[in-house]
Order: sequence, then C-alpha cells, then structure tokens
Amino acid sequence: MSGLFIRNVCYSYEPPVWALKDVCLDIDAGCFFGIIGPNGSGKSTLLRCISGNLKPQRGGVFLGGQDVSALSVREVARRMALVQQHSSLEYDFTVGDIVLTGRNPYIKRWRGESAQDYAMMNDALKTAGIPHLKDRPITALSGGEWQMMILARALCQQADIMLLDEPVTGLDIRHQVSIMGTVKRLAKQRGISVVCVLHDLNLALSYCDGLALLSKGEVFASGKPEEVLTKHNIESVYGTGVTVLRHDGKMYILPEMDM
Amino acid sequence: MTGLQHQKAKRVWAVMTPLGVAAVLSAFLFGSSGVSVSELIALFSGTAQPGTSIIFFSIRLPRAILVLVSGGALGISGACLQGMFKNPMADSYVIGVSGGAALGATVALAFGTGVSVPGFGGVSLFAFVFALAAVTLVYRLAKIRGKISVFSLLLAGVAVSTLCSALVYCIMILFRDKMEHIVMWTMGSFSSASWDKVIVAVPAMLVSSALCLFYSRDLNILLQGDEAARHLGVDAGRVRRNLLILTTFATASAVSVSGIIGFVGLIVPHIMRLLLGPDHRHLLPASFAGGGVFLLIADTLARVAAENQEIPVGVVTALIGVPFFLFLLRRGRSVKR
Repeated sequence: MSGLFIRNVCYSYEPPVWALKDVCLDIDAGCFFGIIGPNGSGKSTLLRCISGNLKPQRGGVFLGGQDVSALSVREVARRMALVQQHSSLEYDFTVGDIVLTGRNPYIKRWRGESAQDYAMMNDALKTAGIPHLKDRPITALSGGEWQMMILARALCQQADIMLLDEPVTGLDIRHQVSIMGTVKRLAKQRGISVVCVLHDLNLALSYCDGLALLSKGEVFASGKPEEVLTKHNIESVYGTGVTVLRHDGKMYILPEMDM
Repeated sequence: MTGLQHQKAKRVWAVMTPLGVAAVLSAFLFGSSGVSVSELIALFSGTAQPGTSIIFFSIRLPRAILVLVSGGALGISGACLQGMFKNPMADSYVIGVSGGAALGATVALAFGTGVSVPGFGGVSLFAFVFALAAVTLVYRLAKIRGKISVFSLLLAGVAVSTLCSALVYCIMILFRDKMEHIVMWTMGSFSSASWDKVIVAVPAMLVSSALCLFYSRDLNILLQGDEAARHLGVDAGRVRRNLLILTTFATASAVSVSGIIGFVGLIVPHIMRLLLGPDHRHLLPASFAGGGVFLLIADTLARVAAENQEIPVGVVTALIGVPFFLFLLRRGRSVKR
C-alpha cells in the first residue's frame, strides 16, 4: 500500500502548448481521489501521466518512492489497474476470458493460468456482482455490464492502485451508483487508492475523499470536495452559473439553465 | 478459457487431422508419374523399384515437407498480423514482404548474382534479403515520433510495395529475355523443391513460427487496446516489433523458396477464426496446420490439373482465395449495416 506523489508534472503534446503545467498533488493510500474539470482541462492527460502511459517532460509521478515511468510494464500492471471509459470489442471472448486477463501480469509467458487464477476470476466476478455473466459473450453485453466486467478484471489484478477514466460516463443511474459504490467499498476495505476522472460533479461530491479541480492544465483548487466545489470555483472554471443546494447535510450542484 | 472453445478446438482438429493425412497421401500418390498405394507401402518396407524410390524420396517427399511448412508459416504469420493490427485484411504481404521478395528475385534473375549459399540459390537469397529490407524500410517509415501506428504501417507497406513492383516492371522491360522467368517466379511454385531448400528454409520457418506461439496470450490482450494492455502487463510496442520480426522471417523464408503465394496468410486465419473463435492460443496452431494443409492441397492440384505442365501454385490459391475474400468483404459490409 502506497500513496501517489505527483510532483511538478508538465506535459505537452505539441510544444510550446502545455497540456499540464506544474501539477502537484499528494494522493494518500486508501484515498478515493477525484479529478474534475472542463473538457480539455487536462484530466485524462494527468491520469495518463500517473499511469505511466505518458512520460512528463518535467516533474514526475512517484509511487512508494519510485518514478512510475521507470517501472517495467509488468510492475506497472501489478500495481496499477486501469478502468477506461466504456468501449466495445467485436471479438467473441466470454466475460470470464476478459476478467481472467487481469491475472496476466503474474503468469509466466510459457505457463497457463493456474487453478488459483481461475478462483480469483470467480471471486472478482462475485465482488463485482456479475457471477451470472461469466460465460456470456462480450458482444452481448450492455454498457453497464461491460463496465462491471472491466471492474472485475481490475479486481482480479490485485493492484493497490486503481485508475478510472470516466468509468460511468454514458451509463444509467443504477450502474453509475453500483460501480462507484463498489469502488468506494473496495477502497475502504482493501486500502486501495483510487484516482478517478469524473464529469459528474455530484458523483464527485458523494464518493470522493479528495478532489483536484483542473483548469487549462493547472490545478485550480484541491482538497476536500466541499472546499473545492464552491460556487465561486465552479463558476470561474466552467464559465457557467450554478446553484449549490444543501439537503440533509449534503451538497448538490445544479447548473443554471437559460431557456 | 471456457469449455466451449475447447470443444470447438477439438472438433476442428478432429476434422483437420484426417484431412491433413489425406492431403499428404494424395501429394505422394498423384503426379505426372503415378505412384500407386502398393508402391507406397513397398517404399516403407524397402522393397520398391529404384525409380519409384527416386521419385518419392528426392522429389515428392521434400516437396511435400517444404509445401506443408511454408503454408504453415504463411498461415500463422497472417493470424499474428491480423491479431496485432486488429485488422482482418492484414498479412505479411501488405507490409512489404512480397514486394521486396519480388524485387530481389527480379534483380537476381535479370543481372545474375554470382553468389549462393549451399543449397540456397542466388535468387532465393536475394528474395529473402530484399524482403527483410523492404519490411525494415516500411517499419522505419511508419515510425513517427517513436510510435508505430497501424495505419501508418499499412500505408507505408502499400507505398513500398508499389514502389517495388514499379521497379520490377522497369527491369522486366529492360530485360525482356528474362521476363518469363520473372513472371513465373512471382506467381509462386514449388517445382524446384529439393532437400537443400528443405534443410535451409524449414528450420527457419519452424523456429520462427514456434516462437510466435509464445505471444498467443499477449495477442489476446492486445485486442483490448494498447493502454489497457499495458496495465495487464503487455508492452504493445515491443510485442508488435518482436512479432513483426518473427513473421517477416517466417514469410520471407517461405517466399524465398516458393515465390509469391497469395491469400494463404489472409484466408486461412479467417477460416480458423470463424471455426474456433478469437483465442490466439487455439488460432495460431490451427492457422499453422490449416495453412500447411491448404497449400499442400493447392500444390497437388497445381501439379495434376493440367497435363504435362504445372500451374503456378499462387494461381491455384488465388483462384480459391479470391471468391472467399469477396465473400468476407460482402459479409463484413452487411454486419456493419
């Protein structure tokens, strides 16, 4: 179990335009951390720098004292699981096949999966609440079922850091709540650190322990969700008016709509 | 892996094994001078006529081995490339192997080579070296800012192949007397099969094909996308590069001893995927076996279809392959709609 330290990360796809400028964040072990911000503010770029898929031109991301860009691919896979935005795959694998690939970072090239790997697959399916989907072809899944499968694959990986890139975008509210709830429960029970890129500010308020609000590649505000998502911060970053409501001690954010 | 795929695999092997045996037997028996079943039995008991023995041991047997392994190398390479590019139309010919080999053989036939490795003529050697060079060039051209995209690789492959065939045509016009040789070579044939070629090319093809098998699970994972694959412990860039080297080596070896035989690398993996599903742990060995059997049947047809002459085997595979290719094209379109 280890925290993530993001130190002065700068990244540019097309110099001299910086997609990320001097980003510094500490994400404690066992924390559910959210990254929010408007489209194009650098959320996904930051997540890619954390995962090591992009190597920052300046600064670095440190996991237990090690620079993630210096880790081997297998090491990355054992420590960080990735759940991407919903996509699809037109090949006739079953849900079980895909979940089992989460064991790959532990299996030697010339070996097959062991009985223990299969047991872990079944456990992961159970934890994600989809044991009944095990033999279903992935081409027959709904968007929500697909994301539950990818979550089960991440669980099967036994990584202590879980990276989620808009995991519930485009899903119905039942699947949104069930995916976010499962991840939250795991973070608590197993001490997994979660870094989650989100668009929905109300989900961010309900599930995250800490938030970073990005604007034009920079951290505009970071800290506790209620401190970050103030009316002033949201309006200056998103450029649209919002109403902040309080109900039963919880905050809700509603956009002001002009019609 | 689920039980269903195991069952499918068992069924496919249950059909392919007797088909393979039948293909091998007919390759031994049929030909311009027939060998009867009783003579074949006599061969194995050592009581055959010397004439039959020569036909069998120095012509039919090395040819059958060369054809089987070449077909296998083309089949497994096609399966690897289609998997790693997530593109059903990919095969090693698209990325420059055939264009380079054709140019190399043309240069050797037109200008003469003056070099030869024992058993491996100058034409084969030139074809092999040019094929490797063409793919290397394609790879270099496609590498943009340290990354290889599938599209840039396929486009660079088409460009380099086109350039190679332009040069081939130039040379053919300038050396009209060699034109027939060049055309015959590019259509593909195993008529010059010999034990020397078997000894040089077969181990190269077998080793590189066998090494491809180690990447089966990686190929399955690559289908999930490069970024996802990285978090499952698969370095997409490295796997693609290594498989590109292995498949190029395998197909360049096949092409150098046989000329350009189209469609084996394209259609065999397709048929196997339809029958077996997408799991490369089944798909790769089945594509090797299927490629070998398909090419052996095609080669036997090429030998016996016309009296007193051989049809180039590349023509036979294309005659069977093109209708299937068109069928897939139509089918793909109707699925998208």
